[in-house]
Amino acid sequence: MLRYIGLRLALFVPTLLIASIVIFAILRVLPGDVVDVVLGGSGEVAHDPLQVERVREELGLDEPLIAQYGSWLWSVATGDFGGRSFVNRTPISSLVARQLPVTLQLAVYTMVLAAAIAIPVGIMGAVRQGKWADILVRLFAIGGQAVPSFFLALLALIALVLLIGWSPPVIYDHVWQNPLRHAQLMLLPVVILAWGYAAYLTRMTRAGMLDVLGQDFIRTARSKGLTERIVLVRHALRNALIPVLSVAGIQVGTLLGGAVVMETIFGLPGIGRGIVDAVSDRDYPVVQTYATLFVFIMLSVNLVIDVLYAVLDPRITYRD
Amino acid sequence: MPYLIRVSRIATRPARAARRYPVGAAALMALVAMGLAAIFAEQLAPFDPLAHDEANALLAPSAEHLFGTDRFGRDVFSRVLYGARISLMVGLVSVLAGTVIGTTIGVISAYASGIADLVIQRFIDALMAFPHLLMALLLVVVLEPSPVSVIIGITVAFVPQVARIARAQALSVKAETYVMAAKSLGGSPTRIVVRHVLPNSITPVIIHATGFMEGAVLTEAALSFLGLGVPPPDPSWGRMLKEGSEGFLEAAPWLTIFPGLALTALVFCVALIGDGLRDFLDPRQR
Repeated sequence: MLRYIGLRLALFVPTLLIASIVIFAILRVLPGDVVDVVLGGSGEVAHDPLQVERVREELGLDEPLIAQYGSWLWSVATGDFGGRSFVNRTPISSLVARQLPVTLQLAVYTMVLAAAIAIPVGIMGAVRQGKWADILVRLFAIGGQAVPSFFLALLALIALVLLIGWSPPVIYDHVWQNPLRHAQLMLLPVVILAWGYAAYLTRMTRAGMLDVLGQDFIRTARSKGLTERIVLVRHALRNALIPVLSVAGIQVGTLLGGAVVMETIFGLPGIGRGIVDAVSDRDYPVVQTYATLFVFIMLSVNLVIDVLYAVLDPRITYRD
Repeated sequence: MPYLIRVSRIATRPARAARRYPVGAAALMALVAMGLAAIFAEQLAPFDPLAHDEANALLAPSAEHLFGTDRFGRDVFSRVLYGARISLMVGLVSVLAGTVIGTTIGVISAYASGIADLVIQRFIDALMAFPHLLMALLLVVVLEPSPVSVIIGITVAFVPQVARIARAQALSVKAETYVMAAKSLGGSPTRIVVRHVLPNSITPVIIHATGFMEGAVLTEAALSFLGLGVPPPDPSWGRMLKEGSEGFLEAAPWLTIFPGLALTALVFCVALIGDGLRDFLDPRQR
């Protein structure tokens, strides 16, 4: 198992590097001059040559691509996170320090809430297969999958304002600053994102439990006279959770995409809204660093999940 | 090829298939209806979706304007009808393109094995670490804002997952006796891949295709909602939601509710069709 975890760790850095090169290539190599984009206009308008020169130098565009990538990588490795924002000269490291915790809190709250809902609900669906409880469970799952989170968010805002005249606070507070206001602002986005994320987990828990409950060792466990609770939790769930974990990893991408939209709607100052703003402002240094940050989060969560996988199923060894 | 037999059974016995999978069949019919509404939007729409009519701005839904009007006096019902075009086109084209490209890469990777497979897989690892919305967003920003850019962005976002699924399936097909038999009969690698590996690797891809379509439709809507998708004035549901949410949530909720319902209905239909398809093509996973 240690060997497996070691190999997973060894793959982490190269994967992150390749992803950052892909981001760099998209931003620099695809058609369209970055300078035109930075200065505005579509390339048809001629820009002041001095200004163009200044921008080129500042972005390091006069250097070869490999050198440009190298200097970006070096500045990330030394904790500088890619220099300064092109638009307002803020160091990107301070932007990250301010915005990353917001997104991480949103994601962690969502994952915890989703797991707390999905696992018991999924078990119930499997145990009462075909009964009305199961139909409700399936509706819950397919609804969470199909109702777009941003539509749901807007509906919730409309309903709350029109029915009870309440709308969430406009200013974001960290949990240690003003826990009550923090909770009020986080409540809607977390519940909405959690429904979407829980939908997939519920489906997999239900399917996994159905699969496991039909197997011989469950009958053996029951015939030994174990209580139903122990059979379900100790014997069935442990096996059923393995596919749930892999779905939890794959769906982190959807969760992060949802977080980008939620942060925009609710005015949460996280890296999701940060990257949308940076993209709209053509703030390329920020986009490069933030996009890499998103990939880093995805890979980290999946690494943790892979380790859990190995803990849960001792048979797993590394095979490619 | 059991899956081809199954597919042909849907085609030759549609009534029986519909009776066994009533929910999926109903969803398919609803999707076809939406497709027809999109194709015949010009005939069905009571108003020009782009025509400004400031005298009739922000009217609540009525008999004349079923879904009300927006701040320029444009008829929301007509705009929702036309909006179906963007959503369906983006969904269908990017799923088709993504499936073809992804399956090709996956099967080649599995069949090439060795260094080539290793290199392709490391790249796919890296690409799969991008949230779909992020990858689409990056590409759309760099390309010209247009529906084609949105399709390219979404296609690229979904290709790695298709490739991974197709590769896994192709690897197991490769080990089957009929592939070995074809090899021992002297079949060329191209022939074996095209005639044997590809058709037998595609079932899981088809099962996942509806999931990709849901994702593609939602990603387009999210991009447009963020103001980075299909450029104005052509109506897209995502951008209609954005316009409705900017200051009109309380005053004119119909601007948000109707395009949102249309989007939800489309994704719901695709999800239900996917469920039916999964039951039909892969009964073990029920």
